[in-house]
Amino acid sequence: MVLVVCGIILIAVNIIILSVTSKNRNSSNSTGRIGITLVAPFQEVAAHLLRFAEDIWNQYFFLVSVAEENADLKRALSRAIEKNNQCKEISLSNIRLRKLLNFQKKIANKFLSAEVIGKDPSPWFKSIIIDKGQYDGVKKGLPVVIPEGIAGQVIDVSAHYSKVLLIIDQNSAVDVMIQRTRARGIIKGESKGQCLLKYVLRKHDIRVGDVVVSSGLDGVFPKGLRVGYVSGVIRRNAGIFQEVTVNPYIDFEKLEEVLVILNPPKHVFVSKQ
Amino acid sequence: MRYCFYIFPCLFLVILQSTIIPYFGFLDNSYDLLTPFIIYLGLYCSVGESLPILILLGFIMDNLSTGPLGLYITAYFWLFVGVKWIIKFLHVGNIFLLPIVMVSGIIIETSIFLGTFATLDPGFHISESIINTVLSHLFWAVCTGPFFIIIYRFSHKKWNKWFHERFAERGREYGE
Repeated sequence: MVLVVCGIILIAVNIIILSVTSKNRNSSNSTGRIGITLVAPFQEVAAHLLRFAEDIWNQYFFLVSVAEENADLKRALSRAIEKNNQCKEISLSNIRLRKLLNFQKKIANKFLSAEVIGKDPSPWFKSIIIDKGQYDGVKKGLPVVIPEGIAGQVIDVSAHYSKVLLIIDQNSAVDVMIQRTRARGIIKGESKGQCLLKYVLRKHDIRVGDVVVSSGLDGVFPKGLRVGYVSGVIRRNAGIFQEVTVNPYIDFEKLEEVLVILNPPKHVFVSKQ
Repeated sequence: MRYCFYIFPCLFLVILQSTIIPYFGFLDNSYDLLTPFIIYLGLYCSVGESLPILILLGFIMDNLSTGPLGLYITAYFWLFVGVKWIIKFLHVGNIFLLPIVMVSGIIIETSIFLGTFATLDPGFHISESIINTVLSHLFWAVCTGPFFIIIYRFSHKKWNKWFHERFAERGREYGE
């Protein structure tokens, strides 16, 4: 009888502790950094050893398809040069039009490159550990991107390492919009590396293949960064929202290097007198 | 010194799980490799010896993961309690029963995780991909878990033997 009562009390205490810690997950606490500080140096060594072994394999043993790949890359480069030229033209016209409309100049982003040294040990959560921390200028809440699109957000920082919550995690949420129709929604992580675009009104025309970009309204990610493309749309007969599935552009399984934006846009709400 | 046996394999398993295995994408859906270790502690080690180790392990895993702080400590604690309860009915010396213990362990751990998600997030539902993940964990656990437990047991015996011999020799030297 005593054992059963003790068991029930233990379970109750356990549930209370878990609900308290889950609510305070976003607040900074030093206890959460102890594990990272202890384990991350070993993870860094292991990651470097793996990359060293991979480099040796790629550079010395795996040269069979290099000539073929070289030809492909040359073709891709010539296409990229052409596209770059077009982009320069668009950029110049954009500057002219902004001047005409008296728009504020966008501040150029300051990036810090970081290497991924570890991933979340649990299959139920999606996060990574990077080799840059407080001493490198990383702060909690900074956005993390790669050229393909948005990767996630810094959620915990220790002296030399940081934990990044990926956009495919179920606890992640990013304010986004469909590039073609400008329909807004919140993108949330879903299992199996996909995302769900929530709160998109049924009236908006959304098609498979539409590009999803950040809206910049969450105050975390700069506007216009690519997130993914629409892979499925379900419009039910009832309800005011439609169910939209989004496939991220980033292959999170192969994430090795990321960029931390050190000066993300900040919304300052000042009332004009 | 006795805890060195536990700390080094644990650190290796954490690195293996968080850095080495994710590097090889095809192994990404493997189960929590610390589960066989916790089951081993439950099967063959005393409560006093195991509790500090499983709390330390749970704490490190909680720190590395984005889940609520205490989730892994909870999972490992109840997994340990569950194994201690199971061995009242099963003969632990029989290695053919280890797959059953492994399956029970994975079910206990997964239930705690999913139960926590369901409690904390009202919108949580068990999707097809979650069922597939759990089935894949069970498959890998049955195939590899018993071998991990056997290796731990063998290494622990060897370590204890080496440790006792070394210290007995030193004791004799000092005695002389």
